[in-house]
Amino acid sequence: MRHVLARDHVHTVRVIFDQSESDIISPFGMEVVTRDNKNQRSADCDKSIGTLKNTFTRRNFVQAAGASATLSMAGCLGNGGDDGGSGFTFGSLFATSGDVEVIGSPMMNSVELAVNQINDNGGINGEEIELVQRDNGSDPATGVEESRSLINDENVDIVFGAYTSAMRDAITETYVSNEVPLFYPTLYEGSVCEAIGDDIVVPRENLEWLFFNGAVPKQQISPYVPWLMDNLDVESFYLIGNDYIWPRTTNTILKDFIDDNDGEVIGENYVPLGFTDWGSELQDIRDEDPDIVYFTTVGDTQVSMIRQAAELGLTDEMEWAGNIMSEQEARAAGDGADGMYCSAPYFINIDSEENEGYIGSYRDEYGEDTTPNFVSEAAYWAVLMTVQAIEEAGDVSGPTDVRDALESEITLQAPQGEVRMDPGTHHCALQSRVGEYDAESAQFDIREEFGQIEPAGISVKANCLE
Amino acid sequence: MLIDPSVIAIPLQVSQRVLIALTSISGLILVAAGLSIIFGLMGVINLSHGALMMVGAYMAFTVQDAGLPAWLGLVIAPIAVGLLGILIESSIIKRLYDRPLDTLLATWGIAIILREGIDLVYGTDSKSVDALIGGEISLVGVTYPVYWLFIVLAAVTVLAFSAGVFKYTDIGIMAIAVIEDRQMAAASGINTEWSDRLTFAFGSALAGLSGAIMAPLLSVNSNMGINWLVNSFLVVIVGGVGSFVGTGVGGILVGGLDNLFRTLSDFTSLAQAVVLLVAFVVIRFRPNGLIPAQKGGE
Repeated sequence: MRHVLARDHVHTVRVIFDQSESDIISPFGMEVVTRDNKNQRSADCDKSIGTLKNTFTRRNFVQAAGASATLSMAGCLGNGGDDGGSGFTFGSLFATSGDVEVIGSPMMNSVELAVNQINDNGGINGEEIELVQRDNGSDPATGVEESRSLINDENVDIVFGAYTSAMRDAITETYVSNEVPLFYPTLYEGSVCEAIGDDIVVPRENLEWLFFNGAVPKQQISPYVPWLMDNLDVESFYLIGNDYIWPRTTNTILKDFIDDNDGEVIGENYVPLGFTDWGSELQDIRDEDPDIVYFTTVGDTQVSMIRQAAELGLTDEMEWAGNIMSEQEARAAGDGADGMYCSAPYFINIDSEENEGYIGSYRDEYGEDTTPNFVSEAAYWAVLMTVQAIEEAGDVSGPTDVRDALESEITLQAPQGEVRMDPGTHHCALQSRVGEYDAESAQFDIREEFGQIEPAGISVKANCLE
Repeated sequence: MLIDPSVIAIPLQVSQRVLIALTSISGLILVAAGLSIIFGLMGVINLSHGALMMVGAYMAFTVQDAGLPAWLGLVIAPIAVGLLGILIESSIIKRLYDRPLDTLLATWGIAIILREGIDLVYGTDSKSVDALIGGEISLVGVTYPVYWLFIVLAAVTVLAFSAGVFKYTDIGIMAIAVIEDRQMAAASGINTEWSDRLTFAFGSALAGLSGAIMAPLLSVNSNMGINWLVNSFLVVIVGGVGSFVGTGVGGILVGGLDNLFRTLSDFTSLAQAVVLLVAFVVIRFRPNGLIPAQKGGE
């Protein structure tokens, strides 16, 4: 069902509905509340201040007060709300509590950093962007609630959000039905339109309101598999992953590439999310004795796998490679991760002016408590890309205009290098490179640069939107 | 000597599997030991057990991060978490001994406070803790990490020590007396308030120690305790509430079956489901667990 929101500068008409009945209630049964724009504005300000308070504790007070106060209070200190509507409001919806807060916190910070940098340089057309941050608590139901609130209470023009596929799937409907664009900055499985058979993760009608700038399997795997086989002289693969859609789709595609390059898969296993007792599974791997273990395990499961494999001596006996190990997991895994390979669009030690503008500023602002990685980098330039799109399009107002503005070949220099939006798929052409982790420096040494790779092909159907 | 290599290969594989399962079982028992005191003996439904274990792991990290020797972590973790236990007991738990169900809510609140507190102090990034001892040894023809053997020994020691404390020491016997009949114990001149406090602190200290010992195998972050909390309750309930032997047996059953099914089938998730199914069957026919406490009172 569709909820149509009327927007007005003088009166804001809001449609309020009971969450539990949202699927059955008729449009006539909805309560329509009209209230004065001024009150709405002050309510928003209270909320911004609340958000501001929450973030104080996590970092330096002075910096927070300086950076966020100008940002959040901008609308409140004006002439009582009459200016509402002409500036842009961006929403940021990541996990700053719960299971994936380790990843969510640097993503939330990176969006904030990008918005602050743009506002420091005069905002969009001289007006500051208002940023509203919400914690999805790593919980899809909370993500849906907060999405509704961002759209209905805060009138956001676009939301940057979600990390896990489960979160993205849960909140997508809210954005599609309210016609607000959602920018999803995470590597994910693809399955756009009918690209890989009937398993469609992103149907065409949803894709219209979604934008992606994380890597899809093609952008990580297609040059990586032959590279691994040539450079490490490996033939037999053991695939180990967490049991959900991303590892399984990635491995399906991976197997094709291994076959094409005359390698073989001699074992495959999936463990539940949160799994940490690896002994028996590692013994299975030792018994199979592959040349290389290709892992698509995530988070704590991956860290405990590497630690225990290292203690059992398995990391010395065979090669280990994957495409979802960031600096964060590698550092937590310690010496065991030394010499492991990862394919990603971005590593934090890339030597470029744009990356210095990201990592340098990130450290100044947020210290060493959180580690940026390839998904937080994507969250950072998703904002830059959106702003550039709005400026290039000109005369943009409201979510639909922002969507239309993004639907063009916007090219920019991201920290990872040159990136470009592909309007036919709403995915981005990204850099692709191989890093080898060095435990001593706690960074990935970049072993190979594959250059820019288009998103379309394999799990993303070319020109899906045309 | 002519021996068919395949004849040796099978027992070697079996002994490898058994040793690996042994470490897995010992980890479960080690972490559950603290809960078998606080939940098993005292009847406090302690949902902060996983968080206390997590704090212990962070203590081990703090010690190593400060450049101090790793063994000091195994000393400081139980002391620090034991003191934390005294603080928790004297501020919250002591008001709830006659409201056991409310301890569930209160301790979950404590767990949230501990998790968020750790995030504030240490940040959300996962930490790396090195093992106390590296290297491998050869056991029955299998090379095995020394530290994994240490975990097995630690589990046996902790369980035996705890059982000994409550069976042979005055303070332990007094604690049991207080738990069984508070008024009678008070009438005999036992300071029931401090007895409760020390028992709770002892259970907390064991949780902290288990966190410090298990940390090198895990990703140390504020959410690490949640899985262990669930497994610990499973071990204590299946094994038998209020008995250390029960906790040991529970660990062997839960961990042993889990590893057995994982070895026999390729479906790790299914193995966990089978373990839960067996646990249901055990509880159905032995509601007090396999080896419940043998004592008077209730």
